[in-house]
Amino acid sequence: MKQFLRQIFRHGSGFVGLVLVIVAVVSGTFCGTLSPYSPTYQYRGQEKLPPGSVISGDEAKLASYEDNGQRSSGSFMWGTDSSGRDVYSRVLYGARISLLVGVISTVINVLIGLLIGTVSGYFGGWTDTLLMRLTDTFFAFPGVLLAIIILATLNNDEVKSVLGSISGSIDPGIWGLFIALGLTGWTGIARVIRGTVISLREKEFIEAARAVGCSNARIIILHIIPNCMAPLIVLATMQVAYNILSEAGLSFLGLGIQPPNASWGGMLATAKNYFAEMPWWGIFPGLALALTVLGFNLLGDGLRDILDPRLKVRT
Amino acid sequence: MSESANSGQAAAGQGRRQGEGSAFWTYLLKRLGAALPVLVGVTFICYAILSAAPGDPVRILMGQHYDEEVANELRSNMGLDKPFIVQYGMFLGRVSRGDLGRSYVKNLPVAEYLAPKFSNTIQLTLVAMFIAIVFGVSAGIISAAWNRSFWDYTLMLLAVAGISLPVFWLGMLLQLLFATHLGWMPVSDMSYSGNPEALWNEVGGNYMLWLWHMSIKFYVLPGVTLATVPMAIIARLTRSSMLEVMKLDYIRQARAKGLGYSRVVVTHALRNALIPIITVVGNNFAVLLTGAVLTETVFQWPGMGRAMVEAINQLDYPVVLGGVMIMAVVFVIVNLIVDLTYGLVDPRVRYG
Amino acid sequence: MRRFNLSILIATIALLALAGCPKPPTGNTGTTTGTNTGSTGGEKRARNYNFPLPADVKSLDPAHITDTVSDSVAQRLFNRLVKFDTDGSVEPDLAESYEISEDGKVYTFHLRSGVKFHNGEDLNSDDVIYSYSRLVDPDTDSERSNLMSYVAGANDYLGGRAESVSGLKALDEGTVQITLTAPYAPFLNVLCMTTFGVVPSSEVERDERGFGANPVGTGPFVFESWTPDERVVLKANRTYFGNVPEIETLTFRIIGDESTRFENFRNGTLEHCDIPASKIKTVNDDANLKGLIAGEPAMDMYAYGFNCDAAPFKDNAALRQALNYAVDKQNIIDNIWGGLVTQQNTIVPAGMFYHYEGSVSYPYDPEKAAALLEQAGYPNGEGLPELTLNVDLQEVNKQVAEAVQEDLSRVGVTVKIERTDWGPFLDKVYAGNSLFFQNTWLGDYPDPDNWLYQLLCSDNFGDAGNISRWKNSQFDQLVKEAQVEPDQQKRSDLYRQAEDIALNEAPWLLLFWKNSSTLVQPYVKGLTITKMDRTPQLNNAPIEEVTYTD
Repeated sequence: MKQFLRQIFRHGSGFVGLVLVIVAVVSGTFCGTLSPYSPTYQYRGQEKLPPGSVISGDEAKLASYEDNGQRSSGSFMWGTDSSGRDVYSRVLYGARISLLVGVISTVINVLIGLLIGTVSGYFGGWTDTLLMRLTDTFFAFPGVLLAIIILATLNNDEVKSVLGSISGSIDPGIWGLFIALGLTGWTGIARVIRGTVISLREKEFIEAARAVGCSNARIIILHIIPNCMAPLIVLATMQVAYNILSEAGLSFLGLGIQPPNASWGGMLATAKNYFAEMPWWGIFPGLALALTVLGFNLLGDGLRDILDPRLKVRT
Repeated sequence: MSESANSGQAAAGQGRRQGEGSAFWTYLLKRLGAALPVLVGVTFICYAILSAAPGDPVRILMGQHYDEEVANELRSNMGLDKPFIVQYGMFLGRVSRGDLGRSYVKNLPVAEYLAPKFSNTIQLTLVAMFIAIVFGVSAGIISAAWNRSFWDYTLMLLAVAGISLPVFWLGMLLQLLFATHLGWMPVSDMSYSGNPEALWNEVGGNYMLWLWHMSIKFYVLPGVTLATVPMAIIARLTRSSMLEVMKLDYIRQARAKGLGYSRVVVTHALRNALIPIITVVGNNFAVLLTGAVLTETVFQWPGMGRAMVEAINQLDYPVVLGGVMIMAVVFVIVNLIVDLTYGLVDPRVRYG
Repeated sequence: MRRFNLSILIATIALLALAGCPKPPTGNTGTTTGTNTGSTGGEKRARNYNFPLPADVKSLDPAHITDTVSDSVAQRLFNRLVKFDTDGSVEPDLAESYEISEDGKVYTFHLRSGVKFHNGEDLNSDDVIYSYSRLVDPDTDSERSNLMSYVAGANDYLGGRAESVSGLKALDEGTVQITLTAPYAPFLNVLCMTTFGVVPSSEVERDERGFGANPVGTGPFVFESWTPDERVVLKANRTYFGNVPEIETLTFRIIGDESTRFENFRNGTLEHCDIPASKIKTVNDDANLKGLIAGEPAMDMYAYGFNCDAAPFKDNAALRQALNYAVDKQNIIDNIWGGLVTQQNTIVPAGMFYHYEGSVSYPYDPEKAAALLEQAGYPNGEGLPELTLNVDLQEVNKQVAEAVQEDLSRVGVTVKIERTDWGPFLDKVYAGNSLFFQNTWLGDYPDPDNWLYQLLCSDNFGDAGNISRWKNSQFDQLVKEAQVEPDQQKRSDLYRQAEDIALNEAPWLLLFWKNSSTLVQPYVKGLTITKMDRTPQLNNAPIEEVTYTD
């Protein structure tokens, strides 16, 4: 761990990525404490305020809402939106949604990709052909459309009531995003893992394990998978970036997270119409999104250079 | 979501087979044979998911005049009362006869509805790929040739930023700057909406200027927006594969023979670095062709991606299925073309 | 090693791209455009009117027009026997004159002579009979057949019990007589609707299904082409019997996004445009946007409906009233719509012979709302299930929904917003599967009948118009009585009683009327916007009277 930290510190861009990711993770985890206001509370009379504005106007009116709006005095660091909500608080809460969706859907991607990649690569033959056809099929599926189709299907009253009952305070739309993105982004991982497994399969230590009578499952779990970890971590980091972008895109199209809950894509969808008049509303969530994704991509590049030098171009 | 991420990961698995003989046709047949299950698989997955989707197509079809009796008749005419697998079989049967069905919403055959959308998407994709290849490859060459220089770092930082930028946000920013504030570019649309003859007179018969106002300027902003991600991927890949090639022996020999550095870079290194570049170009091309949903939404481009999202929103399942089918076919064909191109680029590749 | 390099690839792509390039216009182009003002854009303007539409056209067949967008195009292709003047009064169109019998049941129309369809055929009384019979022909399956219900014999024909509609008669080539079952007061108004556009029997018979995509009428504009999701192009009808349009081409451009429409207008590529709620500040700040027609409230309602046939709204007027009091409409009007809408206090809009504001209204009053909630059996919203509010996908409607959601949460009512595309939205509401939903209506004709009877009478329960599924027999009786009451004053009294009942019972959550605010390019002259116009569709504005100045 210490060595890893030293390496990532020495890897300039990777370190920048790590810092960006940490900032995003902290924002998303502690958004409840960090945000000065409720992300959904509409401060009436405080609409469309530019960054740095101080709460003004009918103090009595504000005070009567105090319990709900958390605070009745202070400033709006990043301004307010057209409904009088604090943009800063909404961006912080948006980080929670983005990271949750990014990470959990990536975990699903990794599980599927790992399962299909190892089984396919290890057993070969017909199993391989079949699973690779399946992978091709999912890969040939037009872009993000599969996710949209899955989301549309999950937009079903029965499904929603089930998901709503287990999601508690979080937007139930988030489950749809986990499933839709989890089921669509695993093909790249499966292919790379399969390649790695094929190259490992014939190595001496695997042969040796087989010779002493280890079961296939044991070999896969104890010997194959640990050796796939390096490319897996690199791919997963990049996949988080991709899934965060996808989540934002889906919310931008009005799918996924439902109003009034804050998500970066959803904020941008409305802010788009006000872009010329209220640029702060479109700039801050966009920057947060771009920097978070950049962070994961830079970290992924750095991790690849450190963990998986085979993928690195040596000069 | 970036429309062409993921593509870097797609190694051309089955493409490069070395072997004796030029069994080109056998190879082609084999590849087409492998493509068929993919097409069936894609439609099957789509059909299976849609069959669980909410909403009653008959109700959508009948709109305000819903009548249970007529609805049931329609349902049985459309085969909607049959088990799922039978319905899917009927769908495949129709598709194999070249019939993609009729839109529930548009009152048009699916093929007729999607054909112009597809053509619009191809046009935009060609423009975007042109931009992506020209700038991406150039940036990659510069970065590789002056490895670890200031330009290398700057360009590669830009490339990673390009991969990270949300395309719809970039589109919004470009629109705000170049269309709203500066007024240089149109906000949306694909071509000039006024009278072409009047415009011809206005520009004084200057063909290039006329063409610019008629058509070209409409492609600039969406083209650039759509090009960003593939451009960045191409730049990164060109750089790394050229660096890989440049440390090989024959490049060293070429340099030792006294050939100029730039000549070595361009003629020797680039040509040999082309295979991975073509792979990534092909993959990105296929991904863009299958509909750049977000770019098309931001610029209101009447292409496949937007039509598909609209069809999904309106529960217009024949259009969704037909569109997915068309896109999967395109995807398979483009990938096949990419594989066949290897032989053109690198004669060592044999079709086996 | 074969020669291959990148330039070949690039050249191929470039060639492919160039292959689709438009060809320059040939021939003598300088003189055909007619004007020689020399100012930039002058000629272009004089010949083309770019008309924005927020969605694609569904059908241009009068028998199948149910949406305002299709109506906006079809309006310009067909003539009715009578039409609305810009102030909403009825004036002759295809009919030169008409007589109404003493008992108000027999209408006789004398057709203008020499009217030709766009295909060159002459229009005669048989075409009128054909067009009207079609609406109740079971084979046509028109969505608007209920508009014919007062015509004698229409229901028999619709039910397959008669060979023809007995109330429709062609007395001779130029005279049409329509007999009603009762003296239906708004009948002339109804005849002004695009649904009653006269179609050529020959064309429709040839290809009935294709007529909606290839319409032939008698109107000031001739259908040219329709590219789905992109544009519909009409050409001026040079042989039009009325004012021949000065503009040559009328291009309807389908632009779904409000900001994109607005920016296109600012770039000069649209002749008029709606003012999106998000752009009101930009409009006010920009001195160049002078062509603004500041609208009055139009007959264009935006409200929410409660499903009065399902729990918890069923038989619970107090709950429905409570929600009405709980919403701060002024906030929506000022902050979301920037003052471009007007608070709704009534069911029937202003602008016709009957309008009554006063007896019941729902000002913002959270305390009263709380009291009513308690009376309704849900003190502080306790025990009330989460209400799902169904709205369409427009961004501004999302903002309104969020404001309502917030207001209701402040009195303890939890609302969840569900956004779907318009088609699935209607599907859900028509089927009665939504509890709480967006309820919009643009007046078809300026008569209270179009609001009170169409939207709230139990005759139209469910998908026929009363999507709130509200039933009140006393109300039903009053509005039906008013339909056949010839005396305007008496009708007004009946409507007043009926409206009081409906306002008290609160089947809707009243929100606002949209104003007919439209941006028009300064060189566009003669565009009159009526109260029945929804922007940007301008359903009734006579575009054929538009001229250009420089």
